Amino acid sequence: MSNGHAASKRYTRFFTEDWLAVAVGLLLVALVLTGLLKSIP
Amino acid sequence: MSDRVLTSSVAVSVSRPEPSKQWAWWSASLLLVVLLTAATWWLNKTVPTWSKQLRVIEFPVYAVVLGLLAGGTLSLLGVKERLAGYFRTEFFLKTGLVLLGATINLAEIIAFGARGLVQAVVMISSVFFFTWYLARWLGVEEKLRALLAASVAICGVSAAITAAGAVLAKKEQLAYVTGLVILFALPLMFLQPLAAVWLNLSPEVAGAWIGGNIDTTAAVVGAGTLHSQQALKVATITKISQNALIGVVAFLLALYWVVVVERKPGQRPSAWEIWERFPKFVLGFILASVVVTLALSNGWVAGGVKRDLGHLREWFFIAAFLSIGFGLSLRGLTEAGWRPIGVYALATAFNTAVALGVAWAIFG
Repeated sequence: MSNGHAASKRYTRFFTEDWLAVAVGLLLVALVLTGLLKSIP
Repeated sequence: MSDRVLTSSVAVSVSRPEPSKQWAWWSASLLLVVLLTAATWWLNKTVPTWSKQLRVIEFPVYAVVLGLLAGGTLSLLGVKERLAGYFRTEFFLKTGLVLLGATINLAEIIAFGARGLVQAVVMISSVFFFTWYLARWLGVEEKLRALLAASVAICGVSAAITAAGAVLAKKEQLAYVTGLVILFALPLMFLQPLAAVWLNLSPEVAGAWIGGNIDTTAAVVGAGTLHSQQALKVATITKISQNALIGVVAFLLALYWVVVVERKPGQRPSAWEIWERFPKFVLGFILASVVVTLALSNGWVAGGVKRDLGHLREWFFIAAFLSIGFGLSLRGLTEAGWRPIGVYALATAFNTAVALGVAWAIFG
């Protein structure tokens, strides 16, 4: 891996939070659709 | 031991306490986020009942102000960085966006998304090159020029980080541009919906104008919310269409940098870079819409789920705006001089004018 690519990798770590947000978001959707989470204020 | 940690918007230096104390600070941070989010929710429900005029103030305002107050107070007490752990703007925002996708019918995403992509290509290319050449004319350094052009043309913080990776900019330059993005996005978040009402724009055109102009996704959500539910939908979809092109722009920028600026034709960025930089929450947004659209149209779930999903979304957006207010720090702006600020201001004005024309042409 070149120095440039390694440095670029440091910045792309920012985007791994995307996957966590997707996972949490979809989990919440599933909980609401299945009725496990309801009547949210 | 000191670490440079990239938070939601700027890089800060944090001294690490022992592990047990670190847990205590993180727990306190989580509690603080939960309490402030609940306080914002309470204000949003209660204040409008005091007076008709106060109904125009929506949750992004309370959230940013409370976050700002909390950040300022804790800064004076010297514990702001220790309690910053759970103030995760991007995480709350993107989770909220996945939940927003769940409340939007897939047919609307396809209809607005297609037009949004056309708008995005026109906006990104015109604004990017306008900013690039204006910055060059004013003598702004090359890498900073790339960050400015990317963040005005596409999507604020994410685009600046993407461009920083593509051209290997310094962290200080990234922090500076991030500060500029917030400095210009927050006033626009309040002013642009007002301007849209004053110009008597339809909710679709208003939403497309907001989504095509305001630089951060968070401020787009805030501005859309302040205008109308329909504007929020259209603004979010057009903004997401723009965000989706981040990967393509990063690839082209990296290619230009390696081949033209640094003259290393042997080294080329791979097409994988486009995927790496593609904002993954867009997939969650679309998937959530697909799942809920299917579930509702087939009668598998009751209609009340959209209300619950909408309320959940609001909690996450509140937390996102709280985190924005909490993390606001504009000190770094004075260090790089007036030129980048001048470029950003002029580019934003150009962006605003062109976005209005394009929004009206495509969505009017």
